[in-house]
Amino acid sequence: MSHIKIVLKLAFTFLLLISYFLLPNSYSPTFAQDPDYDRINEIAKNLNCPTCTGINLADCRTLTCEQWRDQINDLVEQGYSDQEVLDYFATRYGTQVLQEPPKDGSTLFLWVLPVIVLLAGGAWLVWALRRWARPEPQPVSVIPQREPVSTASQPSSQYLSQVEKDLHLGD
Amino acid sequence: MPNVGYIALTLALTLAVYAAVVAVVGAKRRTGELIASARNAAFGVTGLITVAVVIIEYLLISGHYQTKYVAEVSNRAAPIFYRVTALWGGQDGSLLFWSWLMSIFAALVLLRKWGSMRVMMPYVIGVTQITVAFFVGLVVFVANPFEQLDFVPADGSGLNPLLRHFGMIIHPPVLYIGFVSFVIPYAFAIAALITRQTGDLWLRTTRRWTLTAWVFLSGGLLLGGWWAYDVLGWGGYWGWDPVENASLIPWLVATPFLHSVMMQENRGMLKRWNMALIILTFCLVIEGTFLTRSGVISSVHTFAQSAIGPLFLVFIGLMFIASFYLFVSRWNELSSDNEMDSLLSRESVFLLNNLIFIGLAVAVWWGTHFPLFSEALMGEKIVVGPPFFEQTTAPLWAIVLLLMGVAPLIPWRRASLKKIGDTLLWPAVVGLVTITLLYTVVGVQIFGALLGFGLCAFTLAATLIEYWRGVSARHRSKGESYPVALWRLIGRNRRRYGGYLIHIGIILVAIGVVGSRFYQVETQRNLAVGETMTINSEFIGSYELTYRGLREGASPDDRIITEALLDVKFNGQPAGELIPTREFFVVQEQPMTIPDKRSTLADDLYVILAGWEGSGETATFKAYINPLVNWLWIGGIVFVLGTLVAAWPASQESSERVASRAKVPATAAPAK
Repeated sequence: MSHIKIVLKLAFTFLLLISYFLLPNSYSPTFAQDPDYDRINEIAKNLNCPTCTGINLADCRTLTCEQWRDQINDLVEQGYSDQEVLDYFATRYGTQVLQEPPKDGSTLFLWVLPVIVLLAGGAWLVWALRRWARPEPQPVSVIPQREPVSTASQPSSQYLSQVEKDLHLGD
Repeated sequence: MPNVGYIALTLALTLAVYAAVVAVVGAKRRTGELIASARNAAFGVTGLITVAVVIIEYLLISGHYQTKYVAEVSNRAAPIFYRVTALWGGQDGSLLFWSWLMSIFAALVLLRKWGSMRVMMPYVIGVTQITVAFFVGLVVFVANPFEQLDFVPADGSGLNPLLRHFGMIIHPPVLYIGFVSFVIPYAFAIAALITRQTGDLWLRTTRRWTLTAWVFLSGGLLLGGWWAYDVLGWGGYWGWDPVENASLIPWLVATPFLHSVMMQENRGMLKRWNMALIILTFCLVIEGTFLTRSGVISSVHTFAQSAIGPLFLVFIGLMFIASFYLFVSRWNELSSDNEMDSLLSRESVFLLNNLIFIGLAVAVWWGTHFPLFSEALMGEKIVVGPPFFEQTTAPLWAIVLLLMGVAPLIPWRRASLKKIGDTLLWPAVVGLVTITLLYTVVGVQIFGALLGFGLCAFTLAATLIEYWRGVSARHRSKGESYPVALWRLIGRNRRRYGGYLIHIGIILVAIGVVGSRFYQVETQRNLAVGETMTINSEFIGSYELTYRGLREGASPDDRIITEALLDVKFNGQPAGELIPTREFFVVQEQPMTIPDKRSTLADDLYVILAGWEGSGETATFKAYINPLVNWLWIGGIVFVLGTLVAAWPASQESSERVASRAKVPATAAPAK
């Protein structure tokens, strides 16, 4: 078993060497060239760091993230578009790797709830304003009854005796 | 020594429970002695927790490494400054610090308001001491900072490297003070409900406390951003991280509260709403502490491992149910004194402002908690990143900016369309001209940026016009010179013009956010010594960075410091050098990437050292241009100044004028 592996490895290395010498020279610069960091970061920004929380792949300096960014580089060199790279990661590791959860399936609710709350709040606001704005003359006498606190302005002894009274009422 | 600290805490816990029970019993039976005893017990609690804090500080400073907490957050190499501040460098110490601050606030409010608020005070003691007891209880039973190790370690492991920064040293206390001091308005709100004093007495009594809590919370948020920007090395200041969100959410509820209390004070309206907002704010404060302290967000599984999480959850649940029960049982007493006069009025704009802020709070809360729900319900932990928060909140922020300009110009009760049109005409012109100029001359093409800057210009103009109207009126009627008129105008109505100053601060912050969010440029290059990289911003210009080499050195406190030297040219002109740094903390085996910046009012050039090969023959750099980002910090300073103006004790004369203007005459509580 292991013999076969070694043979295969040797054969592969041999092929690589041959292709290196046989292929036209213009190919070699792509190997030597720096990776396009800006493009990689642009894509990595949309992915989560797999090990730490709350940080995106482009900003994370851990070794795992380094490897993921290398992987992005490989894909980019293979001609993947930005979206294709993201799809590649999403299908491999699940949608959790995406910074922006998709607006469908199980994460649709995430996006919809704030909108629902806001619409409900808006509807409530309109309803409340209309109700308040309706000219409904209120009997003036109601107000003092509802407002035992207005006694607070009086000297504190009076205020206290009023509260005492209230407390008695409560007993 | 540590035993004394632990005993002090145990006594504090007992005394806090005693104070809470006796205060409430005393109030029910109207027994003065019991209430006085509760008051003394509350002071005793503060004293005992202070003893514990002094002892833990002594252990930290003297390096008593047998104490587990000291060994975790400090070490021999740590300078005295970091030994002292290590009190809030870990879980156990933070909770002790929290309890200490809260007991101090509880004692302060007893000292200051005892005479004027006799009836509510017992319940204020009850609420604050129960909360203190909960936190001290956590410290005593679950997170004891005085726990001793079986052996004496030679050295501690030292403070988390990320926390060794001035911003991180002052950020937690500032934020904690913000969080903790909301207990005071909350306690008064609950006391008002229990004693059925549902008028605006509790609001007026706690106005300055609320404002103080709010400015500390805001300051804590800004300092946290500054620290992240300065230390974390990702070119930004806000990452919508759960811990950041946990402090933003209470702010998003406290801010509409600060506004809608004006409705109650001026018009006797929105009593229920204000009550609900302050209860919610404090519940969110406790919940935010829970989020950051229990580790529940990183995974529901860490939640199960830590005893703190479930206890917190029970406390939040009880607090919420009790508050809600009280609130509902006083529903009818919280009805409005006044009806709305017109749809076109300051009142309706305030209501809209409330709705938008609550919408923001809901969106941020939901996004922050969604990973929890998804993990618990679907077994899959969905990570909610910045895109969600940006997309859901951006339109709401825009409306907030707009309302900030509109609301001050619309009169209370009733406004006519024509009048509103007249007052809004000039700000609208300024806003539209700004947008046109930015689009045609400067070349700003992104819709969000145009809208953001336009709204900033509109609101800034509206706010300045408000100042101008006041100043010119004084100039005309009293013959004062303009600077004198401005000074006196602000002095006579601090709350109003301080508030406008806060608005200006927010506008500046918004300018910084819009500029850096929409027009940040970044680039990353691998450079050999002598090579140059360029970074370009169409609005700022072009920077050239030439790599000069790497130098390495060790520091006395076990750090290996690697500095890269870069020569900077701005638009071809030499512009100094930058030294981005990588520090490696040997003991913790933790690297830190510390950026270097070239700051101007127009932009920051922000460079980090991302990596290097060999001894620095080549190195990788990441450079950012962050346009207008410094306006964020300038806005923060203006903001704090504005709050100081608004919260500064008013002179007797002006407070009387304000009181006499108020609709309900029941408000002449002496200004303190």
